[in-house]
Amino acid sequence: MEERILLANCGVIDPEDIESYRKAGGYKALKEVLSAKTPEDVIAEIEKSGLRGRGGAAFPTGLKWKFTRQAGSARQAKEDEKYVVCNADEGEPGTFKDRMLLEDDPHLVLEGMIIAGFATGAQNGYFFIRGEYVLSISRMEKAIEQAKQKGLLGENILGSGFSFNAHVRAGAGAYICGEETALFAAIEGKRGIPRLKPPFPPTAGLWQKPTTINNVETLANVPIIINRGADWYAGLGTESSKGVKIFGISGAVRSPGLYEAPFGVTLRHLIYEKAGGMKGDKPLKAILCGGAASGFLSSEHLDTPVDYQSLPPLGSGVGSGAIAVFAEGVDIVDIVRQNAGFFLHESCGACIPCRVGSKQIYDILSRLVKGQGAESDIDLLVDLAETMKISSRCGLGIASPTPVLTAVKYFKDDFLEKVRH
Amino acid sequence: MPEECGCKEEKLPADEFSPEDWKKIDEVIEAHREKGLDDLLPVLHEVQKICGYLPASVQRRIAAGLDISPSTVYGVVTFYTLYYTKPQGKKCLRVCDSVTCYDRGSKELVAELENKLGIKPGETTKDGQLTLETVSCLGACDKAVVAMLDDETYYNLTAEQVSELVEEG
Repeated sequence: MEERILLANCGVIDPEDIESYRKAGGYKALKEVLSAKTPEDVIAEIEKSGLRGRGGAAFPTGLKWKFTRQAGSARQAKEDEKYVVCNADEGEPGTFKDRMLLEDDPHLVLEGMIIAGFATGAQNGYFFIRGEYVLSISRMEKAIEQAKQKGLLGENILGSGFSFNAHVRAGAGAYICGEETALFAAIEGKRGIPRLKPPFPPTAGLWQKPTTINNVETLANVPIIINRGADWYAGLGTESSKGVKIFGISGAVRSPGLYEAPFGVTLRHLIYEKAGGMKGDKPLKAILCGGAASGFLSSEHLDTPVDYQSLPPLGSGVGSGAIAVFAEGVDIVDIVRQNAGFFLHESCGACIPCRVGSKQIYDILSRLVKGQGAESDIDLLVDLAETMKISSRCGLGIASPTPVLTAVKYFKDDFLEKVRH
Repeated sequence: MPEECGCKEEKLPADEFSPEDWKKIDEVIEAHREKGLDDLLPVLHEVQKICGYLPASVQRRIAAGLDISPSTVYGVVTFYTLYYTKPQGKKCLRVCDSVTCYDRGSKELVAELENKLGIKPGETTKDGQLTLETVSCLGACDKAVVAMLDDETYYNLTAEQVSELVEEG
């Protein structure tokens, strides 16, 4: 069995006891950073590691931190006017990694946030956690409380002169708040409507101040990289996609669950080795790879390496690391319809392509499922999906047609079947 | 609306909340007053725990207390699905119907519940005991089908198990 890196503590330590985390080497990275490194050193180390955002967008983390640090000095902003935000609004259907990190190893994520605060020059951090994740919220609140008591949060941390506070905000049930600018709006007490970008968060984020926003898994990588070195981390994975990733394998497999593997691992290895193969040895029909707003793949793609280079040409992506597996016999058009129903509900309504497009796509798919569609509906579906991709206001409307497009691309016969009556 | 005229002898609106409830609501507002709009989401979460839902009278009280417009509060309350403007059942059962749970049988599970309870998702039983909802991904797709009864999460549910859950609940 391969070594567990990100999930090493999960199910091993007591997540409600900071001492348990410390005994496993916890807060060693923070001490090292505060006693022996400058913020620039930390940023250089993260850049060298090749770490990219694990929420789905895969933006280089070190670069994001650098922009935030520089934004402050360029604008002469006071240090207390910068923020680190942890995007813990996990809600992408098929994705369940952040929940485990928050529930089973909250201090790892918190330690990552404090280091991000030191590197970017922020003094306050917010965890925006999905409202439904009741246990994640209470575990993180407890972790913050304990860290404060041990002098790892608050004024003058470990005598370094660096001060940082962390706060938890609970979401209120809106998938759109996973979009970073909509998430800021929610923390600010507003409706979760995305803002237009630019300006990007490192320039104008939370309360219009320079902000670094990182996914839970991204922050969890940080203490590990500091402890074991950027060179070691960059040696994992592939040239374009360095490091390890947590994959959430669900659906028609024998052992669904979270598995970590270096980038470059094939879908076949993940599904047939890690997750034990198909339940009941049924043939594999489809994989929704990267999350509900990513792309479907078929059994011919099983030998594709999972990394940032190999999946996009197929119309799919690494995304959040979600791998939802469907067996032969599934009504794929109905699955696509159900998935489209989710985006119809979650569209914030601010822009017409997403608001109207999501509704039309859902209606057409419903027609097809009921056997009331025509062959021209399939073309209309593709036309609408492509229009949404190029004209929507934010990532939701840009990404949500992807499963529709890839399903039509790889499972055209299933769609045609629906119109041949 | 007395809250907005600045009148000191504020009259409590006639509604189902007791003076004790209003006192608790005011305490929540007071604790966040300085932060104003920034703390609107936490205030709504806490007040809803007291009231069970957020009717116009409560929204106005919050607006006045945080010094923001009632329309701002209304806009936020109606944007997020975890805030309710209508009374809810004593308990709430949320069944995930996102793709993995859907593929693993959430449709049959919801059908069983509809049949048993005589309500559709989004509705509350006549005795006011239970509200049934379908929700999107609860982040435990490896243990589909997933549902939450209030704050408790249940995994690997079958139609039979969920039926028992409702009876016990």
